[in-house]
Amino acid sequence: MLELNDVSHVYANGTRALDHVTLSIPRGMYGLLGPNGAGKSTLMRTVATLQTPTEGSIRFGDIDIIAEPERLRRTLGYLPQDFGVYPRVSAYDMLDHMAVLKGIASASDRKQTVETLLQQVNLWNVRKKALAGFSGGMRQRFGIAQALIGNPELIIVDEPTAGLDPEERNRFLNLLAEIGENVVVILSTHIVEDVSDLCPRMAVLAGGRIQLEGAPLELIQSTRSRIWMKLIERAELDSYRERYEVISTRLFSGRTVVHVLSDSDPGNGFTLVEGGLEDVYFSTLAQSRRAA
Amino acid sequence: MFLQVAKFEFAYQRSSPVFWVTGIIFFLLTFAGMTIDQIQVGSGGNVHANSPFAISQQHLIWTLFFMFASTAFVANVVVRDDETRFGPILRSTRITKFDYLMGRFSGALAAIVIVYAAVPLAIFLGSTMPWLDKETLGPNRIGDYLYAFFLLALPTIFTMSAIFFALATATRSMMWTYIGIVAFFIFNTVASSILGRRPELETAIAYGEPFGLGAYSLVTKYWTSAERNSANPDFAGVLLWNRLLWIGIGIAFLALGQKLYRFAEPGMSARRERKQKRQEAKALADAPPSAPAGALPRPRSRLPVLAQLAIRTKFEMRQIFRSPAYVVLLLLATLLVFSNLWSGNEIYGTPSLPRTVAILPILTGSFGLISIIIAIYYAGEVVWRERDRKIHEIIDATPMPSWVYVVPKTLGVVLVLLSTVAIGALVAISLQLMRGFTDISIMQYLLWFVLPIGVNMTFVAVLAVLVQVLSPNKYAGWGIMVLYIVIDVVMETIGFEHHLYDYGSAPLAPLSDINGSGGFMAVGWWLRLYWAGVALIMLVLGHLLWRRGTEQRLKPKLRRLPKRLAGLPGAIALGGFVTATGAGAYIYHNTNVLNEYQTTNEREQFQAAYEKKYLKYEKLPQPSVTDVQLKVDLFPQETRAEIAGRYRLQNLTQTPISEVHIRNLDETLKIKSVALGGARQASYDEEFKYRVFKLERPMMPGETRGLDFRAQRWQRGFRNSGYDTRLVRNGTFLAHQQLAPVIGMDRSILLQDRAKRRKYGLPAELRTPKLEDLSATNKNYIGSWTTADITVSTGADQTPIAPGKKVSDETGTAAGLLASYPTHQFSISSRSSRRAMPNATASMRGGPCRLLSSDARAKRRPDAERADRRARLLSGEFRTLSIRPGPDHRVPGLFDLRPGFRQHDPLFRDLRVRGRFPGSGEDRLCDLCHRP
Ligand SMILES: Nc1ncnc2c1ncn2[C@@H]1O[C@H](COP(=O)(O)OP(=O)(O)OP(=O)(O)O)[C@@H](O)[C@H]1O
Ligand SMILES: [Mg+2]
Repeated sequence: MLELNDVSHVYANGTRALDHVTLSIPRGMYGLLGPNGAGKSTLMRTVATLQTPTEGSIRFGDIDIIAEPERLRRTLGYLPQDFGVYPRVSAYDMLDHMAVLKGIASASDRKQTVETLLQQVNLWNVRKKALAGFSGGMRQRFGIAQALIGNPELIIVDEPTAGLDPEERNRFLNLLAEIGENVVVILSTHIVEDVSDLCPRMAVLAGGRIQLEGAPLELIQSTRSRIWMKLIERAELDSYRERYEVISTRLFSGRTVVHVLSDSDPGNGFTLVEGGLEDVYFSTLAQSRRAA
Repeated sequence: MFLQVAKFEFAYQRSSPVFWVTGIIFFLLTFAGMTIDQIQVGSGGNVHANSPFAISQQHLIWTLFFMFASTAFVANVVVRDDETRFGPILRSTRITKFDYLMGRFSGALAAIVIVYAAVPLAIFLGSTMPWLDKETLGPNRIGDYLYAFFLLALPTIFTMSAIFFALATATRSMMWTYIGIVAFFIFNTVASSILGRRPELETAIAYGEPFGLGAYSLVTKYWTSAERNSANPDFAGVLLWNRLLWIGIGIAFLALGQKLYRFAEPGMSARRERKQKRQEAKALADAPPSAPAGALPRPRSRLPVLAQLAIRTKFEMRQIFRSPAYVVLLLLATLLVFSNLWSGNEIYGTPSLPRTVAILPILTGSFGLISIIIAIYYAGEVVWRERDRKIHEIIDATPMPSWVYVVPKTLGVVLVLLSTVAIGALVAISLQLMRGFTDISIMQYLLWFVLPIGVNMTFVAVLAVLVQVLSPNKYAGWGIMVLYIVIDVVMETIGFEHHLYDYGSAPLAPLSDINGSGGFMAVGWWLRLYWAGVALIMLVLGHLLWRRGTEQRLKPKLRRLPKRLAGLPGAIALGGFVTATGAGAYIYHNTNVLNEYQTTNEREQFQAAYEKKYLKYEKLPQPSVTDVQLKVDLFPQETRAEIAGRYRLQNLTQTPISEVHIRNLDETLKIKSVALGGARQASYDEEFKYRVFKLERPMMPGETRGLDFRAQRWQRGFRNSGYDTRLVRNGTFLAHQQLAPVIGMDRSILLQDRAKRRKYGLPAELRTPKLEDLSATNKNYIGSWTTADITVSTGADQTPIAPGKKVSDETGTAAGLLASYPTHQFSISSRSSRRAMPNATASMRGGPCRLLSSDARAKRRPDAERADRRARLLSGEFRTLSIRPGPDHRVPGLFDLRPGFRQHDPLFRDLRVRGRFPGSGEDRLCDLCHRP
């Protein structure tokens, strides 16, 4: 559905935020993972027609996004990573406003849209309150609601779960899963679980390049019986890093759990673990770091 | 800590674009003031452009405007932490309030002071420019610069920075700070214009005036040019105390700002909280509607652009009009207009009749600068609103076309401006009513003020919006607009005067009660049509180049411009182009083909050349006109007059005359033929309209000859500037020179200004003849006594008037009047009887009466110059005449015109009054000194 072909983006200050990215994103939820500064937001803004890439082409269905951004915007829902609101405008009014801007002209359609969305994101009770007075999570939910207006075919949400409490996060993920069956949803996040829970396909972006692309399940398969773990003392960590290909470390009741990548048993008390998506992610990052 | 903070702040400010932009603007302003002779600050006359006096004046005056720039620095100091949301991080560190605020203030102040150094630098560099007239310069002395910079400018800069820093810290809002500054500016202007006219307050003002201008001008008030060129006043007394007082006030404000500033965010007021609680309770009360089933509605395939336009417009208006800034702005505009009208419509304490035509020019004048400031400010606010609020990514990702951004935002700025104009009109009307003037026509306000001014302001708004669209940030956009205004003013003063390239310029008509706007609105409306075409193109550009999304660069947009121009945008732009070229061609035809386009410089060159070529004939003996036969046919609707006349010339000198010089001093008058008995035309100089007739046989003393002439006066189309208000549809008033040739050379149209005369290589001054030089007694400036027979015909609905006794009057298609009367000067006038002149019927006894003209010749006398042509009001049985001085003249307020005055003061010999006298029922001319 969404085809990115050799897309690169260089910012005015010389940062190459996207480096020859080629991706094909089908219908359904698509997860985008990557460390800070990987270029996720850049990629999403580029697809959302908010900036033109330095080179490359992007197509959505039969729409050439770079040549006809107007056409894509008619069927786009976008939630930026960071956004503000107008002063002196309530949630209801702003959603209504956004509905008109998205092309929903009839008053009854708008009413239905706004009321449904307000309930879906659980903002009904505060709909008359000025947006400027919303808490971070409430504002984020407003952002989610506006991205869903008009039943868009392409939904781009940049770190949508940031700042949501666990309950709201669940509510949102459920909503997204429901919508995501028929349309293209691109979701960027730092939370690997979100991707493994929701997305049939995903990509890992680092340093502006696609490091890994595929279905989470298959990817997990590919690391099967290559991930080993061990519980060690903190002080030992450095020597382990030298000797093994450590992909992640994590604290557990005061000691450190290391995960290493190895095709064969590294011995030394390591035990094989059932690798999760997180291990896939970390091993990809570790590899890309080594390559760099 | 304090030092670190200050240093950091200094470095931060120095690297900001505002630093460079303001520096450059003030450099250019000052440099222009130094090097362009049409702009002079503090110098002029014999005072050198770089004299201590001029240097001080410039330092003082620029601080007045610099206040706006310095506020940008100091307000930014605290406000930026809230804007960038970095404040909480900083304020939770160990930094103390004093270090935080004062450290930053000091750093910013240091940057500001360095920016202001652009002023002395520009004065110095300007004074070394090779093209300057060396006579207008003195030596550059470093001491003068130090005196002006450190003792005069620096205290003001400190005080203003401190005051507005305090305001910014207390309100934590850029908007309130700017409102504060506009309020300060307006209050200061109002106070100085009201109090400044009370001489007894002069010293008090000198102490209290914040910029030190009052103190400085008080201590140098009686200085001669030589003193102004060589010395600085002692820094003591009033000057010292004024500076100290305001430094003290500045410190007090700093302390206050520090006291009011709280590190913590302020909470909500109790009232707001209750209100919100109530609202929330209400919202909770109504249950959500049953969860709707199915998918959300999809947008239709056609984008509802009109609905989008409507909702965006409504939204912009709400954002603008509901903001507190707007209300305050309106209040300020009201205050400004009121005080301008209040003081502008009275002369030394005597209010004049507040007729609409007299009030409108003052009203228009009050809106000049303030509306441009409003337009510039709001354009920045509206164009950058989404980005400032960081909601641009959301809005820009919707399918709303960019013009739905551009149009409502431009409209928003226009409506803000229009509402100030409307308020202005309301204030003016209330003032008229307050002063008992009830003959108010809303149509006049609409057609002569609200509509034309409103449209002119729209052009400013469109430009300001486009500039913001193109500029990389809001502040740069503001800077560019300020620069544009400066360049616009400078261009005009240095001779680029044609309206066709002065964006948005469309002159207003001269108004009168008799003639209304008299067809003079046409030029303005043609120009408005022309600029509307241009503005349309700019709007299309604004649409195509709108900064959409997160793209900062302009280049990619420009690259795509040609492609996006295809279709409707291109068609609209083409429409604009066609309109502009069509209207432009018509305007050009009028201003440059039907009429002559002459810049002020060209006019001066003409005058200088005239003098060089013909002043040598000044003393040539010439015959005098002793009788005039004149037939004038006026066609007021065509603004045309056909004139045929005969002079009886008599040699009143003691010598034979062999050459008669015949001139035409009027630009519009065309002399078609001249025939002098017994003479032939030896030469005719087309450029100067100067004819020389050689007599076949010299005219002996006492001999008379006849001179026949035919002339035409026809104002066709419109000129670029200046209107022919002499021959108009209703209320024509033509004097000798506008009707007929003049005999002999004199000094009447020559250059007077010393500096200008020097510039064109003329002696600085034309002196009056020496006492012993009796040749000068051959002439007087009035001319000789003549008898005149004048026949005037005019439109059937008009009443002609000429000096003398009415001999016959034919009514019918044209009314005529024949006068035969000894007079020393003749003039005619014609006005429609259908519309009476409102003040003509006013009682002359103590009531107001309008002075129609002061004699043109009185103006030419150097001493009469001072007494201003705009003598306006006459009251108290003709015993007092108040005269409003021009900007550079000092004339005492009231003249007591006692009987016999005329003999003593030649100044007022020719001031005449026209009015309808009680009992006589007809218009009559009357010399001032006679009681009716
Ligand atoms: N407007 C900009 N101008 C210049 N460089 C930018 C701009 N926006 C992003 N960058 C740079 O581009 C790179 C990618 O940034 P981007 O915001 O796309 O990363 P990200 O993957 O979204 O990171 P995060 O997880 O922190 O949101 C970074 O190096 C960043 O510094
Ligand atoms: Mg991001």
